Amino acid sequence: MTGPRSAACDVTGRGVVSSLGQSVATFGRALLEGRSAIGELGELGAGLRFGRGAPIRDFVARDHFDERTLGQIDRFTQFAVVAARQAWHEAGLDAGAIDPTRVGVVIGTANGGVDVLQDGFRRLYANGASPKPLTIPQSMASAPASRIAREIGARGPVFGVSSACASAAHAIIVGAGFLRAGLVDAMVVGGTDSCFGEGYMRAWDALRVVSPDTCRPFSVDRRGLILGEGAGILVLERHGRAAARGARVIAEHLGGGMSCDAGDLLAPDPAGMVAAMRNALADAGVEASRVDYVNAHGTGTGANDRAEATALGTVFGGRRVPVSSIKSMIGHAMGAAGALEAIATLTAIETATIPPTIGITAIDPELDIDPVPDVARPCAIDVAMSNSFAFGGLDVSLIFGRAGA
Amino acid sequence: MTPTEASSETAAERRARLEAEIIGFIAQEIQDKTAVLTRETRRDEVAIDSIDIVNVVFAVEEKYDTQVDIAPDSRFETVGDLIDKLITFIPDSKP
Repeated sequence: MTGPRSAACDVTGRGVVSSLGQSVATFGRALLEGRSAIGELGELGAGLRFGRGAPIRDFVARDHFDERTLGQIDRFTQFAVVAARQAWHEAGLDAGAIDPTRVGVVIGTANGGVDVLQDGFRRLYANGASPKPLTIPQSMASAPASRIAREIGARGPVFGVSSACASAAHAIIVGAGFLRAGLVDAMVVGGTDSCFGEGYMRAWDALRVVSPDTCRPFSVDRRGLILGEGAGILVLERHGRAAARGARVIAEHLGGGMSCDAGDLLAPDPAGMVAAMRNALADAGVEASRVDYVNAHGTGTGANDRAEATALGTVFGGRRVPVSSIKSMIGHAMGAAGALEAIATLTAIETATIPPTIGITAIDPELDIDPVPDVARPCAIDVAMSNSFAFGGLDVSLIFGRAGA
Repeated sequence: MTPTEASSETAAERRARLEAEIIGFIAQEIQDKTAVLTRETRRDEVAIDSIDIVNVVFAVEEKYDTQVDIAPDSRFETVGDLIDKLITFIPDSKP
């Protein structure tokens, strides 16, 4: 279709743990309905400058894990494992369907196990007690990948990756790269983070980039990002393998691009974003003119949205491709964001409907952009792009295509 | 336990009590909750793994306010072997 077939791999499984539902179906439906998970934090936000966020309020760990397992995995790993079970089930790669040595797992996290670390520090500094004995294995950034591998029996390359808000997108690119290199036949990839521990929220408060009201990407009165959390997981397979075994291909991952601003820690550089998007298009063998939809990084900070709109203008040569940010509904899920947004992009392709950007009071006149405000928009999508631009200037752009298009 | 009771305990009684308490910690950690542990129970019979050992060591440290230098990959054959190792780290001064 759009590019060199050898570059593509197939998406055959998806899993979601989000503040808008804990299945792909409920998550996708809520996004297309333009529902917001952002609400008052109440006690959770006591003493903070911001009082709103999008925590996952209905995740009951005991519904998914026995007591012994819970004692071994922190909340961010719980999210990832629950999402991975969904994805693995959807892919239909149960025992016997694949050589376990040809299966890998790469999971991104910005934070690692901040909850168990916080508990440990509280014990240490408040009570003079030792951190609990499994604090290290619970907090390590590779814990989600390791646990998922154990559950599905993956014996190939398994590790964690970290690049702040681009962690999941980097994980997807790494997984796709391993498939293309012929190192594996299937990869479980994505990202996860748990973001509502007191210490972690106070650290964000101190940085002063969190909005005191809500997340309004591309709006003239946007005031910052809103914290979210969750996990998104994809199963990728070597192109053609799923068809050969009679499994459904949800979409094709056509390619991806990476770049680094090599500059400011917090202020994004449009040039880095442009490079990532162009690298992705080149990798996928797709002309910019063929992209029907862009799922933006769209954090709702003044700096990101300005830089991203500028970069989009450069890449798409003034064509106003529809762009939306689901962070307006689920906040910024950090290490999970890139995967949840990739899954939202797949939903857009599958349903031929673009999820909206909600919360826009008036589109910032300085941004030459079509942010699909307020309501979902019907739109046939053959090719879509999903952007992740992290602190530290770490940029990733992913390209997905409609299966068989 | 009151100090009077503690001081009236003989060395043998103390040893038996510590063993029972430690068996309780081990039972709490292992996966098979129906297992009946004795000193003679072999490690592989009840699948005591490295995480169980880490947690039992921690429980003993907390309970007896002591420091236990037993590594997660520590080798032992039976529950009794593990108990004996652990008890060497509990000072006589501790109840």
